[in-house]
Amino acid sequence: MTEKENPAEKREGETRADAANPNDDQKAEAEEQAPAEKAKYVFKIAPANPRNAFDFEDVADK
Amino acid sequence: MKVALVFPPQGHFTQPYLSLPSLAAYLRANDVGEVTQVDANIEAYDYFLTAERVNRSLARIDAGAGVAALDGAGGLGFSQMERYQVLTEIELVGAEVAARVEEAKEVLRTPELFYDHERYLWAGRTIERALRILSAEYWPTRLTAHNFVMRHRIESSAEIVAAVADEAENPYVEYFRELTLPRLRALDPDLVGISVTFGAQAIPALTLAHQIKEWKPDCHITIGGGLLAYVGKKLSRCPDTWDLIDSMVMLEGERPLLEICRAVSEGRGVAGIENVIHQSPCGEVIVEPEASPLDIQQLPTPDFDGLPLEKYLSPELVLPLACTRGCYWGKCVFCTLHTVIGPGYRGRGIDQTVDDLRKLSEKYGTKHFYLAIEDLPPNMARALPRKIIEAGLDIDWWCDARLEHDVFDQQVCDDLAASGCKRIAFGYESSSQRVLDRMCKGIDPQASLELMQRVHDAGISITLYVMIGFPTETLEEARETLATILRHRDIIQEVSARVFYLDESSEVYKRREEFDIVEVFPDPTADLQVYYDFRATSGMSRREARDLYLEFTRTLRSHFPVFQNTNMLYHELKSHYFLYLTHFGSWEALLENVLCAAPQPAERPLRAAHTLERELRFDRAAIDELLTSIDSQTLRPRYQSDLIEDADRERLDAELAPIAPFPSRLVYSVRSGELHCLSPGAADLLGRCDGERTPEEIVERIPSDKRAVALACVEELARLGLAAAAPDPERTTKTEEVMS
Repeated sequence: MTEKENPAEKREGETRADAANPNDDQKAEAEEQAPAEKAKYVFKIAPANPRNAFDFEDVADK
Repeated sequence: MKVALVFPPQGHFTQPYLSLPSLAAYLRANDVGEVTQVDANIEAYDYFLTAERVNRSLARIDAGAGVAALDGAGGLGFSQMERYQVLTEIELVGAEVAARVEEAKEVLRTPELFYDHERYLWAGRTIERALRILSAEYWPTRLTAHNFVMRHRIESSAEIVAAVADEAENPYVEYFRELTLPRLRALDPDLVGISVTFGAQAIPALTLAHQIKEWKPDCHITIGGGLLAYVGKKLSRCPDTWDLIDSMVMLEGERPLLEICRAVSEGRGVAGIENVIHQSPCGEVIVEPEASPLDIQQLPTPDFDGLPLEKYLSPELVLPLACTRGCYWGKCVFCTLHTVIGPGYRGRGIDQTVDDLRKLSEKYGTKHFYLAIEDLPPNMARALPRKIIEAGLDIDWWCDARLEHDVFDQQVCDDLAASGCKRIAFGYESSSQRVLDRMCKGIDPQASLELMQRVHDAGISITLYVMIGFPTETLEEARETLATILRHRDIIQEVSARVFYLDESSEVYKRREEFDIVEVFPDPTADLQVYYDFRATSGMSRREARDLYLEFTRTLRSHFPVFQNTNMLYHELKSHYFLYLTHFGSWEALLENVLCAAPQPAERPLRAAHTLERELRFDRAAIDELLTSIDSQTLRPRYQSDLIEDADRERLDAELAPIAPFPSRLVYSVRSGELHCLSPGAADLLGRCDGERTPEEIVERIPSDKRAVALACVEELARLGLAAAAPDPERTTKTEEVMS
């Protein structure tokens, strides 16, 4: 784990693609282009959500 | 005589419930010695949400070792993905959450912080994460702000009995032993009454009973409450039950509990006390006759003395008060209220209700009330507001109500608003007249919309209850309900949707052939089952109902401000949305000032926010997506629980192809408390947000054919607060001051 106020320089060029795990188009494209370099052109941000952290129904009865 | 009344986990943590204060007031009014109320629910949450307890979990989990082991694998199967999801989060944010969880509680308890929406959301997220850390210690058990579920099902008495001593998966075994039991030892009660309203309380309640019995076998333990009304008789047939408790109270608890206290005080048995189930000395289960309903006008005002009112996670106290019992309508065929409260409807006098409100307001120094009733009866809707105004009571309140077209005219709505009514939750259920008629709701959907417009015009927030998959309801009818709600979302603030469950005490179940139900599927291993899966020859299937429910929730999240941007996670908790309404004065003000904040422009140079980050060998986003996609399509139905069963887990482990390594970066925003997974390219862009470069400059080295996507990614980083415009030293917000 790292804690950074501004991690800009440290992360410059750090990205690498060890292997592909195609679940979306961008990744599939990156995989086709094969070199690890290409993985850095996958631009995806997803909320890191645990499964079913909330359900409307849980609240309805309480 | 010493009596301890206990409200066991798990209920929500925003306000006290009414069960103990009602019982305590009745016992105290009848001079039953020393009566102590113990809200073990809020006390457990308060303890679980401490740095000490979170750190204990972190030490036991050792997430770093777990992640390292999983990162060493060539691929991750289903169970490994579940662990990876949990452990990567804990490894990254565990220490931060432990260090700040008590600050998060203080935010929820402190008005000037609570109503700062950014701080509020951070606090809610931090508390959710702390509970996930605790849950991970007891995996697969899950404790959230909203629910508590274990691998052991509450539909099976054998599984409940197995859970009460399951130190590895039941967090309350240790909690009760270390904190609740010492407190009860100090009180040394002759009788402990445990109130069990929700299914989530079943295992904790009997866990506590088990420990009390081990400590003091001659202490009389009685359990009662809403859940017992459903499963009490079934539970009484399980012999192990009687090793844990001495009696059960069915239906209304006041009178039987008083009689049990007197019997225990006089050293005699509880035989002959109405509404009680007990075991005779020879082991025979005795179900005593049902008592006639109580005259609730004779009941004292609820007494909250002794409850830890300062511990609830709300900045201002919201007290529940019941001015009716039962439902004056009483015809809806899906309803099971009569099972819980007994037959008939009774109301407290309107002057008496105003008097209750005044007494509670003065005694506890609060102006916020939740009328914990099934529906506001017509006479009260018309007369209570004016009585409140005439009495000069300065209060805010909310309640449930039926869509009574002839009652809620504009004058009544205006009077309600003037008396402090801020929110009404209506049982809308469906926009189809045919479906409503089959439900025996007795309402006209068009007239309901006109009624809602009047309520809205008066300035009262509207919540709708909607039911999906009522027998014979078609997909088209349910979708039209959703479409109707969307068309009127300017006057509807919240929707509480749920799937129809076939309850064995409902009229639908008793007359199921009238609703084209041709098969019911009882689970032979679930002796406490009250909800059944079923097959009908018309209307949508159960699977379609579940899928449509998910469609509802997705649509609500995307169209209703209260449910957007994760606002819903915390606002839906009873007190919090209501308190925000009262604080900002109106829905419109809440919308403008809080829920629809202007998007942040991203033209200026961007600087990465204060984050915690970790490179991962596997793609967390792909794992989250895959795990989230596994729902009712693949899992067996389980009432109000989406916990994956052992058999399903084994099957998924065998069937799902392991996911291959692919790098990702987990990024936690210290300011917002949000956690995101960034692909390599997105992480690289975040790294270039150095406070010097504008968005255009950040993406300038990206190949031109990919630059537009990259620019959109930078804008998303800014929208999520992971990167922000470089600060203008002339401006410092209140939140920044607090954060510093």
